[in-house]
Amino acid sequence: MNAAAAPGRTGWARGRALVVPGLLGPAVVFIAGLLLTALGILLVNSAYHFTGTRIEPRATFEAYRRFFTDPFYAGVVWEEIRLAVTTTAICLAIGYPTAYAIAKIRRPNWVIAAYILVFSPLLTSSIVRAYGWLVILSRGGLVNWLLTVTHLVAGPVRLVFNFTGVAIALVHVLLPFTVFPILSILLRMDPALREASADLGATRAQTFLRVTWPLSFPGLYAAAQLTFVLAMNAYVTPQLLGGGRVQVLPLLIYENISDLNWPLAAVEAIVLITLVWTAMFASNVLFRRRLAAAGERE
Amino acid sequence: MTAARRDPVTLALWAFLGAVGLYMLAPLIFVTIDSFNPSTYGTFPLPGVTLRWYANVLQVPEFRAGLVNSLVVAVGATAVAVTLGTLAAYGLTRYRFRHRELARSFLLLPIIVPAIVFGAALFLLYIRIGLYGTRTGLVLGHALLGLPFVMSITAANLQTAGREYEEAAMDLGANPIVTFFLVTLPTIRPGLIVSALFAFVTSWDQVEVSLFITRPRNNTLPIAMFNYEQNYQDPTLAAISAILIAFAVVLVLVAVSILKTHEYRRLVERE
Repeated sequence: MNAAAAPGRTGWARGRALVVPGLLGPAVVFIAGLLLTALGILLVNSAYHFTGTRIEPRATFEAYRRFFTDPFYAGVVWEEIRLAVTTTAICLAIGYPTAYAIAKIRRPNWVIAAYILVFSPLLTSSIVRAYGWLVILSRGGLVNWLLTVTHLVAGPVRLVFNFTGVAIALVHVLLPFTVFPILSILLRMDPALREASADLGATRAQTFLRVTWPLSFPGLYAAAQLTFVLAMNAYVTPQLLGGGRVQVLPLLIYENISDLNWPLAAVEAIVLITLVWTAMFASNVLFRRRLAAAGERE
Repeated sequence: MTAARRDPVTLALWAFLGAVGLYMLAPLIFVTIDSFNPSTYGTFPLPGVTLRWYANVLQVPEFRAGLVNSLVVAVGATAVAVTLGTLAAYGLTRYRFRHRELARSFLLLPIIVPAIVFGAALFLLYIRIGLYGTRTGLVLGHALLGLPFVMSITAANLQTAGREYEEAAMDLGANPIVTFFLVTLPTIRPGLIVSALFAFVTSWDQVEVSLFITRPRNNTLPIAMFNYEQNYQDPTLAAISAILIAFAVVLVLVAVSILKTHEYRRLVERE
């Protein structure tokens, strides 16, 4: 008893051999048992043969052949990347000034209001938000009503069930994830740096371009990466606002699982994971180089 | 302050922030307005006002069953994720061991696997082991998605809290388990509340994984809504969305007040 209650680090260290596996074991076993097993089964299924009605468990790899030779799938991958790049660019263009403005607010109540405005949509389902955009953008919706009343257009403009509608709603879904990393780095920035820049005679534009902007780059980078990955994985928004006209990999994965063509769905899932992980890895490498370059400049 | 507010750049910035705020709130506001719309196709401006879509919500059996199922699954998934995540976070922050960084990365794995891919993979696993279409299957799947958030939030909290009080308790003779329950858990309570909320909301709003592993008869609420939206598209969906938005508003208020009370108490106790 006295030995077990021995004070200080020695007591901690003594129990370590058993305690660490006891603490981490459940979570590790859980993830390995569920996620890794499921992904393993997915990988195995990607090799199997699909007869048109059922799966034969023999390795023909025909789903890979079909995916990489049929130009339809190249078109889907292109549409997917185009959607992710477009929405990420728009999110960054809107998200940076938004984070910058929030970081400048001084009154606590206004800070809370701004946080609620930007982040509370996260608490509502993406289905609710997609339905909201359908209501706003449809033929008889608010936007078309405004455009017609102000005589900006002669007839209703098509804003849903196409790329535009998906992009408008997807930017809305992703924007909180863009703003958050930029905002957190802007808030962590030492105000003394900006004051010093001003004291040394820099204009506000110079201070922004030479001090704030370069220092906020890690936040911008994290925001871009997160937004892009989430855009690549989006399912609900393209499904509900695309009206079948915006085909991306997540939609095909679900469609093929429902059609019992599990090998093809598995190949599409593997391609999606590969695209997302490659993008993350490539941007990590690029970012490290850029950070190193910034370090040398100092 | 007054001078700063008058200059055009700052004014433009505030105007921009206001516009972004409108954009963020627009779908939520118009869903709520549309829920009173007598026209089935959601025309604007409203031709009148009706409550019949709210009455209709109660008559769609899928919504009622989905609500119950979603609540049970979210509570179960939160319990699993918070238990496993808190234990893991405690192990990662309070002990030094080989491959600790590897263990941390492994526990974050569920975040970097696209949910749609995990859903498809989980479907293929579940039909083999008989968990397809079961609540247990949903609870496990949702708990896995919540686990990394619980782990990260709690680990960050444990890091900031420091181990001084724990060491003091052990110096005074408490064993590690007593210390964990009587000292560590109360210290990180706000973090635990936030991480539990995260796990709950993750499960509550889950679509991509649920889509694959629910049967038509045991749908969660988001899946029931998703199917309804694809088949009918009348303002019944707006009505149930408005109810959920109200629910989210209440959740935000409760969270803010809990955290505020805690902060307040901490300030008072420090005096």
